[in-house]
Amino acid sequence: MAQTISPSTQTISPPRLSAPRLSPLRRLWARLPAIAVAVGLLALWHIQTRDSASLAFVIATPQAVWQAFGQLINNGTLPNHLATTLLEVTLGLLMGVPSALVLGYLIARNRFAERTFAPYVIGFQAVPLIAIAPILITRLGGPGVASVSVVAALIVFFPMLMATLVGIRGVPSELRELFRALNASPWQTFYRLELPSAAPSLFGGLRVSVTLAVVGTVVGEGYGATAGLGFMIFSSRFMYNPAGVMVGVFTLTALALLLYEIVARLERRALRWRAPQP
Amino acid sequence: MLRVESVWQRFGALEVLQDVHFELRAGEFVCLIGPSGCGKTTLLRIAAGLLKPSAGRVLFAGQPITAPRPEIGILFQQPNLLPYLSTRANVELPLALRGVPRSERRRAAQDALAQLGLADFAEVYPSQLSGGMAQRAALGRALVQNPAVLLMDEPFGALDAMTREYMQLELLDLWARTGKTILMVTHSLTEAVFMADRVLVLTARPSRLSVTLEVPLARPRRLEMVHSAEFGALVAQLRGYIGAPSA
Ligand SMILES: Nc1ncnc2c1ncn2[C@@H]1O[C@H](COP(=O)(O)OP(=O)(O)OP(=O)(O)O)[C@@H](O)[C@H]1O
Ligand SMILES: [Mg+2]
Repeated sequence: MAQTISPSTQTISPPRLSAPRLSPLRRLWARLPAIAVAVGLLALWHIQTRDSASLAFVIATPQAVWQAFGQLINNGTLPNHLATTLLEVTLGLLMGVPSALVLGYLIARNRFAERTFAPYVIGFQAVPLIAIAPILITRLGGPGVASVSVVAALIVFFPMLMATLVGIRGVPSELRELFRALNASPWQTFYRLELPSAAPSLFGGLRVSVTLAVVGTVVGEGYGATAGLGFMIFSSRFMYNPAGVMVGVFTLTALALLLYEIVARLERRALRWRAPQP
Repeated sequence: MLRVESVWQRFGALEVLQDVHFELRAGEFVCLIGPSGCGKTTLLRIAAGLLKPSAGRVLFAGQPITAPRPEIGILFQQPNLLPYLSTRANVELPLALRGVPRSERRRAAQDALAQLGLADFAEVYPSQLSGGMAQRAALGRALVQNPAVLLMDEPFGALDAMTREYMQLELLDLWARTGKTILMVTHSLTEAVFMADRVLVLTARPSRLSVTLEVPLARPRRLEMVHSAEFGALVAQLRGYIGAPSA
């Protein structure tokens, strides 16, 4: 009799783990709305700058920006500044993200650490960076890659810390109990439970952090730096060269988008288990 | 095998368990019933070494339990599978945490999954499993360490009636094959009588063990036994002890 009620699992085929790849045409179709927005903005820009000579010192025409782009690439100016910014962003992330992870983890898991650090971390967030950046930069050996990276790291720190807090605190207590029942060591609990469970939140923090790191370098370069895209923007504006400003802005935007996309791809790969199944 | 010695448990002002004591003999199947919130899960957590009782102790093979140990497996009310690991990796987890080599633990997990009818779903994430399959995977995880004692907290509570009957028979079959000692919490009087050699009854909070009902039904148990007069009498007796309508 027992056998007659067995719910058969043989007839159900297991679902596939990876989503089917989209064809190139479908991918283009999916991007179309974003492309349409770009075209619209370009048209608006063109109309704005077409015949207002009075604005020539403030806004460059699309054509002028395009020419400046070519020039600045060819004479090596843009690659040099981009390299500096990229270095500062990388160093900023390398300093800001791990320290936020460590402190965030401590605050999430340890009452004493929470009472000790949390008020300062939150209070510090209310301090405008523009107010303390000059102090920082003079204390860190003057304007340069090192001090600018620290400013970027500071900007990155808070969102990454919050993402860590939310992620680690969100680990379900039943799963913690499971790991206790299996006699897992603290280290095993960290890398087999806490890290993967917090990963969605950590990646959210990282997405915000990479774009903010780019902003951070611009802020940092505003205090006497002599290289970097931020410097390029400030100096072009000083010389009433709106095309140079626009080239810098576009390069920064592209850099932020690129970094964001890299994180998004890493995330998709690492969090494949969350992918919606077709 | 497992001996609970006058265990008391209170959470702040809340008296949960009072002087609970019983012993599981090797190879026995014992069910534990009691009103909701009376402390059944708490008692299992104490027996598993997850919670230190306010007073009293639990002995396994004569030794006091102070921390979880692999000889005592526990199956929770929820499957509690890790969503980011495949079903197979979930079943392997206890072995992975103990440092068992990959090939060996893979074989053990593969075997467990085949026994539970989950072989085709080994590489699937838990979100793709049905409730019954998830609970079977959790059972596989509890069994992969080959514990001598298995503590189960309403393992089939969330399942539909058909899957539940199927799982009950599977579990009885597994128990008969392996000779494990099982303590199973349930809120169903029928399930308790159907599965157990003995049923322990906890009173409402503050809970004490009120009675123990011996179940003299023949083994192996068969579903049609549920309709026998003897079975009905046992359930009625149990209901009398607990003073609650049967599930
Ligand atoms: N860690 C804890 N801290 C404080 N109180 C707790 C804790 N764990 C359980 N309790 C309380 O102890 C009592 C018994 O809880 P327990 O989960 O053991 O009940 P149960 O018999 O398993 O109930 P159910 O049948 O609903 O699962 C409840 O009143 C609960 O609120
Ligand atoms: Mg319970």
